[in-house]
Formats: sequence, structure tokens, C-alpha cells
Amino acid sequence: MKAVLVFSLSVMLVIVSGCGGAPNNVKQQTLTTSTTNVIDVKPQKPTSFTKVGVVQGTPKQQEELIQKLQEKLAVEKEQK
Amino acid sequence: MNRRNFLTSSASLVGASLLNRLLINQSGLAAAQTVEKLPLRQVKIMYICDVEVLNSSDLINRKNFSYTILRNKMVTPMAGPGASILQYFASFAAEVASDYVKDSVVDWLKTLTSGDKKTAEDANTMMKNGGFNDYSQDNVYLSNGVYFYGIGHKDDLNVCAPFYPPTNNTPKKLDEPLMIEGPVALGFSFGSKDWQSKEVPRADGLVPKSGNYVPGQLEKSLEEAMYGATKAGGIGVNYQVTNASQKHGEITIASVKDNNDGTYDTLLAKTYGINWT
Repeated sequence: MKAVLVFSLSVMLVIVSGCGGAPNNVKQQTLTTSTTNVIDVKPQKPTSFTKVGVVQGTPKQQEELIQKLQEKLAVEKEQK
Repeated sequence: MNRRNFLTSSASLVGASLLNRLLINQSGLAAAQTVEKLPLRQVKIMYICDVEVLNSSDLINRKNFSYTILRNKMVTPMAGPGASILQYFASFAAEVASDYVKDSVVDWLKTLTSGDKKTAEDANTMMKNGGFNDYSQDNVYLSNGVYFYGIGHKDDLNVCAPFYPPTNNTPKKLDEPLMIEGPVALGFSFGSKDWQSKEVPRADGLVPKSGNYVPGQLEKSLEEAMYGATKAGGIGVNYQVTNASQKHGEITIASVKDNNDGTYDTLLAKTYGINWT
């Protein structure tokens, strides 16, 4: 009878700790899970450039680029 | 990477189950304040800590980060003020990738056949000889059959990204890569942020399958614009240093859709100003 009681208490103890009842256990579970799923994105280096923003009033540059792009695509299509 | 760096300067990848754990976690070890579901397979998480966060002060330190999860597998910091070109490129990759292949080039090389491996190793050697040896963000992505990744230059400013198109010459799967460098890579990233076409996915309009190799760095104007073929049609990027003494330049990017009747629709046309130091 005593042996059965000790065994039952042991099982209950294992279940409780396995469920992560204590905060430390929760932390450990989370970290364990993370190691199988987590891939870190590596550290950030000091930046040496700045995006100023969209430049207004530059449709000519864009039109020229589009026109040449279309010409290139047309030539490539002809070659195929 | 040591644990401190991990905590202070890195993001993490989390699986779907782990994401759920983050959201429902009652322990205070991890929390997400805002979750916004986006189309396709992307979920954007704002103000999220990662699973390694151990206390509330870490949470506070990480509030300005946001991450993208692709196929519930990848988290990439969204580029913003203070980000490097390499991070901008990683952000672009997350926007256009249909799949996250490997978290490092080395791991990816292990998956390739000998022919493909040689193709990739030759490209990596060429980059290394050109000073591109920063593999700190060398995640490998796939989009429209094109494998690609970004490698930083030792000057901590420029970047080179090989785009490997698929080939029909089996068993070899990868063709020689198109190298995208510096301001062109930056133009891709800016363009992906400003993509507005609802008809054409940004991957179809921005990821080049082929094109002309244009060496590029922020300190010099391109000798010629980069032109590439995309799934939708084509993409072009030009870069000119407009004020060398003040270290200012302008990147122009354009993407068009080929209607296959001799006409083209403009999907994107923008010019961006940048400064470098």
C-alpha cells in the first residue's frame, strides 16, 4: 500500500513538473522549443548609408529607363 | 554568436506552433502586442520579442523591431532607418521569396549536386575576390525558380547578390547567376516597398531571371543601367552619383509588364535619393 502511494505521488510529481507549472520550467520549455525552430538573423552592422526618400520631378529619368527597358525586351524577344 | 549578441541584436525564426506559444504565453517571457495577417503565406508581427527574451526589459529594448514570417519558418528584420544595405536586401528577399531555402549558403551548398555546387562555388569565389565576404545575412531564398542570397562587402557598405535561374540541362538545375550589386540591390529593395500593383505580384515584377551584369557601388555612377527579364516582363535600375562631394546619389527603378502584343504596362517607376558616408 505504501509503495503504491509513493509510486502515485512520484507520477503526479513528474506530471506536474512536466506541465511546466513553475515559471522556470516554462522558460526551459520555451527555450528548448526555440532551439529546434529558431534561426537567428545575424547582428546588425553600423549603417553607412541613408535613404533620403523619393525624388520628385524625375519623370524624364524614369521614362528613359522604361523606354530602354522596353527596347531591350523587344530585342530579346526577337532573338528568341 | 554569443547569447548576449543574440539577445540584443538579432531576430529569430519561429515555427507556427511556436508563434502560437508566443501569443498565448502567460508567463511573461514572450509576448506579441500586434499581429497583422497579410496575404499569401506571410504574417507580419509588430513589436514582437523573440522566444529567447527572458525578461521585460528585453521586451522594451526590442519594441522597434518587426519581423516577417514566411511559410511560418523565417523571420527577417524589416529594413528601416538605420538598416544596412544587406538588411535592406534581406527585407526585399523576404518580400519576394516564395520559399525560404536555407539559413546559410554553406548549408545550401550541401544540398546541391556537384554541377550546381561548382556553379555556386565559382560565384562565391568571384564575389570573395571582389571583396564580398560578409556572410552575416546569407539566408538563401527561392522565387519563381530563382535561388538568391545577399553577401556584404568588406567595406560594410555594398552588397552583391547572385540570382541563379533554373536551367533545363538536367541533372544540373542552376544556371550561371546574374550578379546584382550595390545600388541595384538597393533599388530592388526600395521598389519592393513601393510595389502597388494588385494584378502582378511583386516577385513577378522584381525578381530577375536574366539580365546584364552591371558592377555597382554607391560611390560610383553605373556605367550602364541594369536591365533584366522578369516573369511579368522586365526590370531596369539605374544609379547616378548626383553630388560626389556630398556623397549623394539617385536610384531609378522601373518595372514593366509585357502584354505580349507589343505593348507594355508600367508597374513601377520611382527615383530615390540616398546619402552614404
